[in-house]
Amino acid sequence: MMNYFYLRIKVAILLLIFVFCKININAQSKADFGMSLMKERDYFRAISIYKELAFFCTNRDSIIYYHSQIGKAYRLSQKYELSILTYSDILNKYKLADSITSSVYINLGLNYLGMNIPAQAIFYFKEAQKTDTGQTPLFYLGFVSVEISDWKNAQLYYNQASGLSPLSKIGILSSTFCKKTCDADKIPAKSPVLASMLSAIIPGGGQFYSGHYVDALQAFTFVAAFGFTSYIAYQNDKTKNSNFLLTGISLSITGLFYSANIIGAERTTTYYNQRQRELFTREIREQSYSIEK
Amino acid sequence: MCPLFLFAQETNAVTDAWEPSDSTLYQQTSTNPPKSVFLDMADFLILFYKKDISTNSISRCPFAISCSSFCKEAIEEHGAFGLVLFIDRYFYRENIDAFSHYSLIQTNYGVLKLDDELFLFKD
Repeated sequence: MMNYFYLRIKVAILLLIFVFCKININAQSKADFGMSLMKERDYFRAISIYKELAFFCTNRDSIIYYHSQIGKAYRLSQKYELSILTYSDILNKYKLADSITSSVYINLGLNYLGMNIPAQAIFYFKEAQKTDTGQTPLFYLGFVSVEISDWKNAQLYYNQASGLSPLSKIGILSSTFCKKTCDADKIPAKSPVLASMLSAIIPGGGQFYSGHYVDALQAFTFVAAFGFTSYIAYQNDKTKNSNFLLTGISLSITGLFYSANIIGAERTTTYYNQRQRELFTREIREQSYSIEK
Repeated sequence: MCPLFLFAQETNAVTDAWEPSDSTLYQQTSTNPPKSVFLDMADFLILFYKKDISTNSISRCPFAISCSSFCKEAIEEHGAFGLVLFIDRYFYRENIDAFSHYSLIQTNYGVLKLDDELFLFKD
């Protein structure tokens, strides 16, 4: 009789353990599923999973984690405003540990950087620096400085970041980027004013100067053709003693094409300079975004 | 199952609104009222091209913002000066050499196209 009683207790305990494990396995597997969706860049579904987990979760730390994952998923899917809202909610609702506060500020900064508002990004990275004296805020401050072509500050921040822990991943990257930003003076640049002047003298000259040879040929051909047409129209109007209407019209069209050629030369050169800077900073940008805190 | 496919519609998951704020954003951009006779005329011509000409042709423009949209945006933003920007884009910059100069961006339809937004003089 006693043996039977113990057996029942054993079965009951085993059942309880099984149920407990199953609950835990389920919770773990859903979070894992969310993480795998994030790795697959299926952010839309990852957000749904994390929202569900956060809704049914009672553990405060887990809720914060799920919300931060939602914010991250929004950021990675370039829905910056929603990401900012999510992170702001975390900041407003919970009292966070310093390390988490810093992570939230860094993510807010990255969102503003994604929205192309570097001033606001700098503000949040500096806020992160207040709670985290480590390398990460310094590294991202260096990154924003690179984005706004402030090479001196970039070198300063990268130097500080690599000095704190030279052998860590961020430390190695910081020292590499610091060396790279020293070569920023070697980025090829052309003068937009000179390009405009060249195009004003010879149509297509500015485009040729900035390396857009086919654009230059097209600009020259169009302006020359309309200029020649205007000349013929003028000759025609002159011999017929008319009111020069045809000349006026053709001159207006020539003027439009001539202006477009000058404006185009200026923009083309500005674009050339911007693209050269982008090519120079591409490696820094790609590697900086790949570091996830 | 087969009859169900007859009613299936082609949808683009990428352009679907994720959140309520997305759909309000689309509504805001699609209802921009024209402000002058010049804008009215330009708007009418561009709309006519987009509805009746462009739809009967293949998509050839290599740029992310198509030429008609570029013209519309330029004129809405800068008035007559926008016409100058459009001439530069359409007659000078759109050529076979464009692919070697401009960076690529992914459009809403997942297609990689050339990015020349800088030429719109946007702030």
